[in-house]
Amino acid sequence: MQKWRKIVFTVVVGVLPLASVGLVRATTYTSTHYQVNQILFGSGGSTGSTFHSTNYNSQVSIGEVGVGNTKGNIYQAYSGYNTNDAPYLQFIVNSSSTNLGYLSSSSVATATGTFSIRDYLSQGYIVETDSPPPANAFHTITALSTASLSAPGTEQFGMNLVANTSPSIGAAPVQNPSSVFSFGSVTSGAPGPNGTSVAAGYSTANYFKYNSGDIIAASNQSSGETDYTISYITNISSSTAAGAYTFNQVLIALPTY
Amino acid sequence: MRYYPRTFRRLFYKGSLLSVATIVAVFGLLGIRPVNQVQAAQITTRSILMSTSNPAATANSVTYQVRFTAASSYTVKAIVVDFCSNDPIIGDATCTAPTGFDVGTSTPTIITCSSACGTNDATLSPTVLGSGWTAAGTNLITGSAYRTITLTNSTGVAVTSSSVIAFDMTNVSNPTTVGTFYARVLTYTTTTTGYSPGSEGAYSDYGGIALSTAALITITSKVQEQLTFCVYTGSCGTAANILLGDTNDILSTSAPAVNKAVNYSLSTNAVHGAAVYLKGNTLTSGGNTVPAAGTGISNAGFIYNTSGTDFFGLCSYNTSVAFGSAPTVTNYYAGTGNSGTCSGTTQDTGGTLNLTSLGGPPYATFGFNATNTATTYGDQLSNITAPGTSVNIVVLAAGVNATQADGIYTTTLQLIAIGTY
Repeated sequence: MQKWRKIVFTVVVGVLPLASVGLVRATTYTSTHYQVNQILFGSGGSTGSTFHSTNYNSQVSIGEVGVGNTKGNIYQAYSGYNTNDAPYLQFIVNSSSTNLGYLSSSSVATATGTFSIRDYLSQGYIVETDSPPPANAFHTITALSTASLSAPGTEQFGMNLVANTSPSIGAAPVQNPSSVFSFGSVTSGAPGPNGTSVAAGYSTANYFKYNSGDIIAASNQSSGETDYTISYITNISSSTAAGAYTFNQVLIALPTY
Repeated sequence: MRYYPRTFRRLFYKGSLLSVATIVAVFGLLGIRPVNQVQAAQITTRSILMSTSNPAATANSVTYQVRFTAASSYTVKAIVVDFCSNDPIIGDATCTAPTGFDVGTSTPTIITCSSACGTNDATLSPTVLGSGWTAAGTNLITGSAYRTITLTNSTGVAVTSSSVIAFDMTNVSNPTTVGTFYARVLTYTTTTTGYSPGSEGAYSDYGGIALSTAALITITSKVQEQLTFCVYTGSCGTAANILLGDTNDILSTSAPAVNKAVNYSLSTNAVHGAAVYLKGNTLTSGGNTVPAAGTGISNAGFIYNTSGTDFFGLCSYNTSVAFGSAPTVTNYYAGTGNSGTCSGTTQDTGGTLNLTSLGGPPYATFGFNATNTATTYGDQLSNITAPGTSVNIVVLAAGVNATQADGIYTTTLQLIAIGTY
């Protein structure tokens, strides 16, 4: 009987903890001979197990000792039971097709577009705009190379990512669920990873700019979801070449892990 | 057989169990396990920059720049980048190819350099790969599309934990669906990698990267065709009724009469510009006419040589351009046939007519192609080849000789502007 108790003791103390990490496959910490996947301190919770039924699935977390991100210049770590060990990027550009109709030299034409981004286990991200201004086969609408006010009668194309009053369009970035967890920014000079930063000219209300290749949003750390609204303005002059103009904006998210 | 006291045997047995349990428990709790790859470490500052995130981008036209910092010191002779739609986890035996993806056929084109990358791709400088690398696409998806790219170099490049490795893949096909996909990056010290998902071989460094295609934001608009054209004296709206002559509206044999009161403004957004046509006849009085100036020698304009010349003609020049370019005036209406200028002429305001009104010497010249101006659409006076806004002057001139029949000579000239969109 005593022999059985010893065997049970060995199994409980030794084998079960091994089993607790059996589901973890990715590598995070390494030395010359060993690597550590995910580390569990404290009590309660699970790094790999879930409660699930036919329709629902849930991860377990009870009495976590500490949660959140800790980082230095090179490495970072996430604490908490419900962490994931794989780099992640969620980049959603809400596809929209806006027809502004006939433009007028006496009033500004406006449109908006939205996108959101969330990344994980990264040093942050940048978002670039990589498309030429509105154009047809013969003419390209003049893009505002420096941040400028809307001036109907002057050929202009520009955008920004803040709320405006003249014209009344746009919205500031929204941190979802809050600024505690999400850090995306459009502010001029806001840092991204690896020495990058947001270009000037896209974060002042009523001032618009467009330069293909500019970084228009960034975060210098892993971030929860940030929802961005892009406001576009188009003005024409009496000499703006006639025809139909199309602007297909390609946004590129570049996370660095 | 040696005999140990029962108490000692119990302690030894308990101690052995406890030691085993402790070792197993510590390794288990910390999740520590030996690895297959000696000194394998995670690459840092790793990213893949896409030239476009458009899932509808032209196949095999997208460039990816793979960039990372080595994690340890060794000589890298092979780099594997495997693109998966399910996860970036090294060791996962499943790697599902992203829909529509291709690294660039079986022979992907790549750019590697270390410095002075110049026209190849300046953003690759400074990085360490240098030249001598070849690329192969493996893990066939379908047709000629492959999921995995393997770069090899038999000489290899020595790297340290601060070496930045980067290269361009220049004929990639983006996934054709919107959303996240992943790359698994591994480096090797031999050109034979033995890589397959879940059995990656003896790799040196490794890392996962997430990428995403995204939908486009499309804005369309139209600019309607516009043409604003006005012929006037003084200001637009004032009809150009010209009395050509001296104080008494008489043409003289001593010198031509010059009038510069006629303006035309032209503004158009026509992509291919616009043309202004002149339509009408020369001065006419019943059955008599003042001879048209014609197109002159070699179409350079009617050359006015002396007084007493019998002619009617005009020249034209630009006075202001608000946008675009000044109209190009048809050569025999440009006024330059005698090395003079149309703009140098002066308005005769009365009194005795004299040659100085011709702006010279050398005097301006005048033209009038009566053949063309009599046609349905008239004779081209000037044109622009792109949108533009300008104001221009038409200088009218007429002189007579002693044999010109008397009478009141008149003509009605039309200027017609047409845009080409």
